[in-house]
Parts: sequence; structure tokens; C-alpha cells
Amino acid sequence: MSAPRAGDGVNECRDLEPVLAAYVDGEATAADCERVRQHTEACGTCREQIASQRLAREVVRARREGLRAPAPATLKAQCAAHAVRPSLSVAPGLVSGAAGPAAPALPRPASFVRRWAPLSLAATIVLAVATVFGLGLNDKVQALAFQTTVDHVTCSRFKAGSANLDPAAAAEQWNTRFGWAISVPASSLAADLELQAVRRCLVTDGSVAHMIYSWMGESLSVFVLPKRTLGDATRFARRFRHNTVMWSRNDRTYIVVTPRPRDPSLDKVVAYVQAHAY
Amino acid sequence: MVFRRRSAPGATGAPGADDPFTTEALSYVDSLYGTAMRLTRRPADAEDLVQDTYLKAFRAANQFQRGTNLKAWLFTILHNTFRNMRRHDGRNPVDVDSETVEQAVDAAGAQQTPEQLLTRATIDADLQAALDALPDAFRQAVWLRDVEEFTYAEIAAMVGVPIGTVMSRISRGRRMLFERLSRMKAGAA
Repeated sequence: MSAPRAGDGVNECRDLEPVLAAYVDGEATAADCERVRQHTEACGTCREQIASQRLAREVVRARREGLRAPAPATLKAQCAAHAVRPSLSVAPGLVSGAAGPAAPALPRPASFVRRWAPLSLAATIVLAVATVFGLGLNDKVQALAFQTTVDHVTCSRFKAGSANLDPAAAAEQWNTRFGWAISVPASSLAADLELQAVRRCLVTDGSVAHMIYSWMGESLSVFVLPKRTLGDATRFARRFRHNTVMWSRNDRTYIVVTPRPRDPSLDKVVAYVQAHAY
Repeated sequence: MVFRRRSAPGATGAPGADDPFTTEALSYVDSLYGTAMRLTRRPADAEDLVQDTYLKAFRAANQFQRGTNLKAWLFTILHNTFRNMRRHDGRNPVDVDSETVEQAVDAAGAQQTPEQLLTRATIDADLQAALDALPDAFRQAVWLRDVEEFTYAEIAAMVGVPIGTVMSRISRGRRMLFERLSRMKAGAA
């Protein structure tokens, strides 16, 4: 701290403000301690300041564990997944239509399984990822199907749905927060589709919107990428026992992922999404 | 201090699940989430913030200097990410009107004895509410110091302000917290 200097009472009180934190923490220098001692002999306000700050400090420290909010297990699993999943991210070239990412270096399988045992779902996903990368990815449809299916499984199984989510409000909130617009298809009794959440998918640095629905007793995801990377025609892919339908419209790419089979009901729900997602 | 890059990072810089870096980094998830909750006050935003932090940390793992404080490094990423998030929202987390703060401090409620305050503050929810009511910069300083136990220098580096400012914020933040707890006590009496 700076050396003591003469001054009027108010300035001295103000100058002592930062010193008081260290004084209360027991980390002030000997010179600062002496400065505080001399000042507080004549200044009741600062004596009171020290007492109140010390008490606040003690209260917070005594109640520290109660103040901490433990991270949800789902968040822990998702964060752990990032330890290997950064290499899964859709490379900029992929989103803009260039070649996909190169296969990443993968951790050794044996120790990998052991370390990830408590995170069974994340472990399952990443092992599946390893398998796919081992096979190689040479098609962006397959790459997108693979990436979005991983995120569909991760998010929709972990995320509890929030009933009565307002699709217009969610879309507005998205636009405000991330600076690009989406349209969120509303729940539909006719389509047996119920909107549960609108989340930012972190697979591409947060630049993908992820809408999570319940559909015919199963989960269904609609991903929206802020880039046109496919043609208008729908493309179909199947990954990890999930079906994926994707297409581009205007400057957006849409991807629907569901574990339900590819049948007319899937065509119907995709048509519903297409009718309400632009 | 000698800085060196971590050995054998992957092509993307990701450390892998088997790396001690990963294990240690993930051990701080509760601390990061607790801090993210105090910063954002919303569980969904806090989760996004923590996920973003880990995503960036694992991607930049080869930039972490071994032998330095990994927890402080992660908290720095968390705060930078939070600042960017708030900037996008058009809000500034450290833009504190000092005059307003002074007035808030001066408008002290009825004084309580330390024993009275401590008894009252054993209710975690009240303390949580009093902390959450502090202006962002002061809540952040008190939290990082008294809950996460970072040094003034570490907090200064994280938050991007001079060390003296950090100490002033801790000092004022504690004082304001005391006042708020006193008022809550007076209101409950």
C-alpha cells in the first residue's frame, strides 16, 4: 500500500478504503496497519467500517458452503464431454460448405473408459464418436447427422422439459440474445408435438439453435444453423439408431433428429416444422 | 517464471479425457457454476456460461502455463465470457454508479450488534438474497475473495481492473452487505 500521508479526515477515510480490505483480511503491511491504527484512534466512522466489514466477511466465510450451488450432474457431464468434443465441432468450412473436419486424435480407449465410468451417458456418446471418427467422415450430411444426434441425445435426455413454453417469446429472446432470428414451431396437438426447450447448442461455439420437443412419446430435436450449407431438398441420414432429416432454406440450415422410425409420421412432422420454422 | 506450452496437445489443442489437465479442470465445475450463478442469477445462463468456459478452456488448453493456477485461469475465462455475454446484451457488469453506491452505503439502516447479525445471517437464503442485491462489481469482488478465496492480484487479473480497485470493491462490498443484512434484520424484527 502507499505510504501514510497527511490529509483531512474525509480524504484519509477515502484513501484508507482499499487498505481496510487487506486490514480486515489480516494481509495489510505493518505500515498500513499502523496507519489504520492511528487513523481509527480519532475516526469512529472507520472503526465502525472495520467492524462491519469484518463481520460481513466472517458471515460469508462461515456460510460459504451453504452459498455455493453445486453444479447439476447434467452440466458436469456436458462439460466433461467438451474435454474430447472440441474436435467434434462443426468446422467453419463445414458450415459454409467446404470439407469436413479432420479426424481428431482420440484418447486411449482403455483408460478412457475407466475415467469416464461415472459419466455413463457421456462415455457412451464419446465412445460412439470414436467409432465414427475411426470410420472416417467424408460427407457433410453424415457429419451433421452425427454431430446433431450426439447433441440431441445429450441435451434431450438431460434436459427436463418446461411446460407451456411460449414459442414466440423464446424466438424473440433468442434473437435478442444472439443477434439472429429463428422461428420456433409451436406445440401442436394435431402433430402430437410439444415444445419443451429452446437452447443454444454449443457444438459450434453456440451458433446453433436447438429446439427440443416431445413427439409421439419420444424426443425430437430441431437444430437451426445460421448458414446455408445444404440444398433445399431434404436429405436423410441415420446415426446411432436415430433418424435425421436436414435441408437448407434461405440462409438457414434445419436438422430434425428423432429416435422414431422413418415412416409417414416422420414426413408429417417434418412438413409441420417446415411450415412453421421460417 | 518460466512459461512453456503443454506437451503433445492434439491438433485442436483439446487435452482429452485422460489428461491431468482435464481432471483438475473438471474438479472446479462446482466453483465455476456457483460463481456463474452469482454473476447471472439464472440457472440456464449459468449453465451456458460454465459450458462456454469449459469449451474455450479445453480448446485453449495448450495455452495454459503449467505450474500456474488453473482455477484462476478458468475463472478468468469465465469472467471474460460473462463480459462478452453482457456486452452482447447491452449491459456492462462493471459500470457502477459510484455515487449511487455511496448513497446506498450512507443510507445505513438500524445498527445491529455483531451477534444479532450473525444469528440472523445463519439463514443461507437471506445471505444469498443480500449478496444478490449488491451491485454486480461488488458482489463479484466479495464472492471471489470470501467464497472462492482468490488473492487480490488474481481477482484483478480476472476482472481486468487494478488491484486497488479490487480492494476498494471488496471493502465497499462487505460494508454494503452488512448494511443489507442489517436492514433485513430490522425488517424482520
